[in-house]
Amino acid sequence: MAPNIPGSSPSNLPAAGKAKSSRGNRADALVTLLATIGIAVVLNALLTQSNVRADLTEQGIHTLSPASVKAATDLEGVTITAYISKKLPETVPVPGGGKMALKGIERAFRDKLEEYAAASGGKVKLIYAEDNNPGIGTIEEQAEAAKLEPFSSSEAQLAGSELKFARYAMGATFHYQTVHEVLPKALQLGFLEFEITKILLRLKEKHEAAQVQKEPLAQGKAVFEAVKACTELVQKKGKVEDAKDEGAAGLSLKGSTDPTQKRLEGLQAAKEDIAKTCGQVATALSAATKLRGKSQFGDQLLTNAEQFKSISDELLQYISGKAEEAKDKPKQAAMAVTQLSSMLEEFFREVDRAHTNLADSPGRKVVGFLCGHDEFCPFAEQEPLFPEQAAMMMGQNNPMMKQIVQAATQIAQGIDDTNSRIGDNLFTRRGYSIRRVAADEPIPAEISALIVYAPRRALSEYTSYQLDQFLVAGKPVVLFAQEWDAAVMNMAPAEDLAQEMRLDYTNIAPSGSNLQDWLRPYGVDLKRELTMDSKHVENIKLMKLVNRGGLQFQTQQDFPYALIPVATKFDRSHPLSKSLESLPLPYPTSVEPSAELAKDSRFEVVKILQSSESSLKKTPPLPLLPPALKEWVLKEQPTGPHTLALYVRGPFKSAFSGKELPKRPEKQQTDPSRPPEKVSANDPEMQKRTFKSEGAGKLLVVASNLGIEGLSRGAVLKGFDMSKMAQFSAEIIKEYQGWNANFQNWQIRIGQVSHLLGDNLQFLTNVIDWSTSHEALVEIRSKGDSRRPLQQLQDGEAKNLRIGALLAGPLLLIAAGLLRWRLRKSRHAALRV
Amino acid sequence: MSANTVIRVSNLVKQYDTKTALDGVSFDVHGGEILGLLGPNGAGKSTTMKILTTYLTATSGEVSVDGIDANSDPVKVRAMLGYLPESTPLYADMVVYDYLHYVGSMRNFAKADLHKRIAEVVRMVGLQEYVGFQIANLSKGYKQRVGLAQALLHNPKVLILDEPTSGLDPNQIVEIRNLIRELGSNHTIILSSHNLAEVRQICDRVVIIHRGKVVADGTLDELEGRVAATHRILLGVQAPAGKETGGQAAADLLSSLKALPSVLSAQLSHQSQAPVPHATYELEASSDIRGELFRWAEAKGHTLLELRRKDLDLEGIFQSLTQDAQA
Amino acid sequence: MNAVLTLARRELAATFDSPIAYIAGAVFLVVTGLLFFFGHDGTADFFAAREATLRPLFEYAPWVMAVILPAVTMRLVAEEKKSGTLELLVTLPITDLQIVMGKLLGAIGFLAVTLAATLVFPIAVATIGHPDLGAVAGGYVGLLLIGVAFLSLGLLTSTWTHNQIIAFIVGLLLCVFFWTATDALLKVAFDRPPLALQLLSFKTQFDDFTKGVVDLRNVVYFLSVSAVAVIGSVYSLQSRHWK
Repeated sequence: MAPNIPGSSPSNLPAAGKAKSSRGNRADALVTLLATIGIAVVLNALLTQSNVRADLTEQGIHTLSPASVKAATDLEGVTITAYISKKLPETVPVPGGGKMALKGIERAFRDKLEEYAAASGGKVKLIYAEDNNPGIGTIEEQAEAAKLEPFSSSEAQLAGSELKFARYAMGATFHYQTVHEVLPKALQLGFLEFEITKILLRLKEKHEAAQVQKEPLAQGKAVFEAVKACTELVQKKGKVEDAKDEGAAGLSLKGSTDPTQKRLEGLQAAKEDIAKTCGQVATALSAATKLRGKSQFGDQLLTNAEQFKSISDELLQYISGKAEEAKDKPKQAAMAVTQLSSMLEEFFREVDRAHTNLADSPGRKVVGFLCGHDEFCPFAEQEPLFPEQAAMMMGQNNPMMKQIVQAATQIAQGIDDTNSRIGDNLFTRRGYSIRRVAADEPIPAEISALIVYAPRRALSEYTSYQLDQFLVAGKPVVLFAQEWDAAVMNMAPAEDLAQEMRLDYTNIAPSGSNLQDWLRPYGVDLKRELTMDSKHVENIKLMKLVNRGGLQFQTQQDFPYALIPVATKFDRSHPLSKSLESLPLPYPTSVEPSAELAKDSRFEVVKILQSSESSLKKTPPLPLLPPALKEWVLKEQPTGPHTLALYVRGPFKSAFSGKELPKRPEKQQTDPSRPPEKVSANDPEMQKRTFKSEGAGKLLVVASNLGIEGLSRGAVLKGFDMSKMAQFSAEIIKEYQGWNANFQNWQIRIGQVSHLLGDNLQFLTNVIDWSTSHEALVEIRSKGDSRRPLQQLQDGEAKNLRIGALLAGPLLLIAAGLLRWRLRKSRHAALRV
Repeated sequence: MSANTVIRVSNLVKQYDTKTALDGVSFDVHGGEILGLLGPNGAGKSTTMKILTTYLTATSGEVSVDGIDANSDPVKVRAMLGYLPESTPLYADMVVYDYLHYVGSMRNFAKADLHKRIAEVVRMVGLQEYVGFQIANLSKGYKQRVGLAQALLHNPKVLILDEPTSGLDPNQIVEIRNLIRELGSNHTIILSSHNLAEVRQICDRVVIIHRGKVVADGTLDELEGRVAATHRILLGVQAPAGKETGGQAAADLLSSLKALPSVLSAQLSHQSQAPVPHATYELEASSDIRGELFRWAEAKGHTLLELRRKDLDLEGIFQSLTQDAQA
Repeated sequence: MNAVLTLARRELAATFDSPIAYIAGAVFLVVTGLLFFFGHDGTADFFAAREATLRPLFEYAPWVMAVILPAVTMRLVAEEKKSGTLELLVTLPITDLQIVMGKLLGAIGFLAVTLAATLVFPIAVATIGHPDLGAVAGGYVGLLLIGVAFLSLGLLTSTWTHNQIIAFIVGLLLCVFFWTATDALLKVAFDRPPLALQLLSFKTQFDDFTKGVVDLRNVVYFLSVSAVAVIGSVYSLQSRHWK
């Protein structure tokens, strides 16, 4: 018999040998099965500690950037202490309503911290705070003590008989040598790497700068400690146990049970002690010679400490019975003491804040915002709208005027509050040091980068000159240009008070900026035409008032808006645009390098943002309402791309070389009661500065305000003139209504583009980081959470695309099936042996 | 053990839960032999074959093919076997050629050889016209050929065919039997059947399994010799003309038959008026007395309609064998 | 190996010879597409959200896979058991492990074809935006792994019975259980489920893939679930020897 058995050679049968043990024997098979399960479990358990991963995202969103790795390896001996609540809630509330799920955040946070520790090669040490270690309390308590920001859950929990929002912590502190930083709350995973790297960079800068400023810092600390000791002692000695103390402390007439009386007695008993401890404040103050006049925060600290000292002095007067007005009037003395001690605490908080800022200030770079041309200027005005006396005088003349004055003051107050809140929230709280740079004044030396944010009035010659000198001095100048003031569906000032409010005022007018002129000498051509797009656009949210049953309702509708084109082309070589995917720019113009500049090889010219091919530029008049504009734009010939942001670096020539240098204008004193300001021109530092005719500089021009519209007195209280206010007229009432409308219109316009502000503010903070040479941070943040938008589609297009995508797969599959069936049939028919 | 032993089955026991399917089955198969595995349904033929093909494992006992133990190296054993399970399970949705190609690939054929070999096998089983047919569309007989073709494809040393003719029509049965006969010339074959005639036609040797035990092992003639101590003869006669053919006449005939020498017993098995009035008797005799019966009928004037020796049927053999075993 | 590939090829062909492949594939594509464009409650609108992301696809697809894939694997062994072809298959000179691997591989072929057909969604998105292609790739790696795990579980249930419907229903329950029910069950059973149990959930393990991160831990997890199901299937096939 021919043993032609193809399958029988053992080499063809890899599993033949194994078969013996696995076959037929139930025990063997069971062992194999259980061993597989066991290996699987052990392998998975072992790997929980591993951190081997491939980040496939284009920009490595989930991997530490080289900049972060460098930051982690640059510092020898950083200790990170992580505070993570044992039991995190499912969701936390987010500002503006809604909830954010926390699923997986804890693991991601731990992973991220461990990634840093691993990347540092042992230089960063990571500790997790332990719960309930004896004497240090729960993790949440420890976190609070470490100045983290605890947060609460969305759902209240029943604790005993009452509903309570439990407090949770997730954050970390960073120690390096003598300096310290806090990551207060780590809930935004997209920004985690940015925040941590920023902290590491800060630690380094802070440490280096603190070495140089050792003395002033120590003096500041001494002052703070003295103030703190005094406050604590007064608090302790003046503590009134009586629980009935609530509220009407000073009004009680119950003699010796009076808490104010008790407090006085308590303090009196310890008067020597208090005198001694609080006396230290004066000592520390007089010793703080190196601190005075050196920095904003140092001066703030001193000012507050001095006020603290005067209050504590007064308090001592009362306690020791030396105060003139309180002699033999124990009741008044007691009340005064209570008041003074609460003031004391208030000033202690100020001192504490100033000291925190001071301790935090070393190495911090200051960014200046030019103010005074109705720009975006995130500070409160320094002067009140009406000098106190003037306001009083005007009110006396006419009750009507009094009301208007009050209302105008309120608007001004609202503007100030809004601006300082913006400044605080957007910048100061995020660790940026920003400073107001007033118009017509020299730019202070501490400013390391200057932002001119959408001025709507012309810069004076002197200010232009200051900017010019700042630029040629090699410091970055960033201009945001808003060449048009656009109002879409705004409130028009009603003709008289009885008329209904309408939201139909639509207008576009050139803003009063002269940035175009300022830029020309440097070879930068800021265009006046508006750039718009037919395809790559963002929505505008328009409010409508609907009258239903006599009640007015506001409704909101989204329209794709050609005047909010989305930048789609980015220069990948520049850190600002390296990892951007899109940026919507409301009402932009465009900015191009002049022919000479483009040719000049000494200059680096980067078109950071460009609009799409489908964009075009036009000068108003234009139809402004979205549907009409859309139609209009579709008919026009696209001329894109246009440059929306331009960066130029090179040896700029001063625009003022060979010209007579502008003189600083005389400052008008609006309030005669205020002490005249120190003329900083006499500052020896200022006088040292001499004219520079040329120098390497960095200039960034963005042809839009990014939707972040400035709120300023000038723009809101248009035509305000105090001299007019002296006399009542119908004119003034109308003007007042206009102001009111202006203020509300600002809110309306911000609301119309509010959905873009997230991305755009991020770009703004990137610009600030870049301008203060924190380019590494720009890169990290840009990759963080950048939105990748879809093109604006016509209604039909979306539908077609959707149907196409839904049907293409199944149709393809079925077509392939039919084809296969046909092929099989013909193949089978042709089969022969 | 003869040097020629290809399959050795020794003392197989297969226990399902409480039921014992095989209870110590042993036999050998020699090279080139066609062995018939005989037994009624449920006797253990299929179980034996499933263990032989390594589909199942015996509870105890050993099976070896060409000296290789099926339990320790089943894959090697499978490579030497071609198997056609009972009722020929095939992938109905496949085309004959593709199916054979698939089986060939699974058996590690080189691609070039495979086509040639498929053509050979297809010709051997007579499927040339049907290679492009879906198996589902083939008649039972052709399906059986496909089953044989897949079993033959790798030219196995041993073919194991479980009830290869069951469910086929008589023509198909003849064709398949002839095919198996041909194959027997150069393959060792084990086939199972419950049809004695089939086994007689095809097999060289028979192993009879009954209730999980081997009750007989030998050539069919040997077996028949063992069980054929008595001879069964069928006798059919036309009723003599003019004579009454009622019960009385038949009974008379019966008693006269019984009176014949060497007739052990006789019984009237059939009686009918159509097409002609006749009666059939079944006799048991101690020797083949057909000659005497012919003469007897002639002498008595009966018209002889039928006179033949009755084949041993399986039942009869089992009866005898098991009676033997009991005796 | 050759035998495994041959078997896989046959299984794949058999899958695509039967209408169930096309029905399952088409249902998968349409349902996933609808979920992708409209969300699970039909209120979301992908184009209104205007974000060039494929994450909704990756979040919903496993749901649909948990239902569709058991329908594809149900026939793998159950059908052969019923028709008796399994007897021929296992008496071919291959091991039971090879059989299971071959069948699984064939089913993976179907999965790959179906997933390839879903590429119309990234392509559609890419025509009107710039999705992060790396993240998309990561999502697909995840879908493939979770799909293989589902198929292995489906294959396992198919070895338990000769009734395809039972194989499908049990497979479906098993897949849905691993995909999500663990979450719900754990929530009922524990105030705060232990990490080890949380990690059992496919959902937890799948999360990183949707972000574009391929983490060794997740990969090993899905592969080990598949491995256990494969060895379980082999065990189940072998159980004929001692039944």
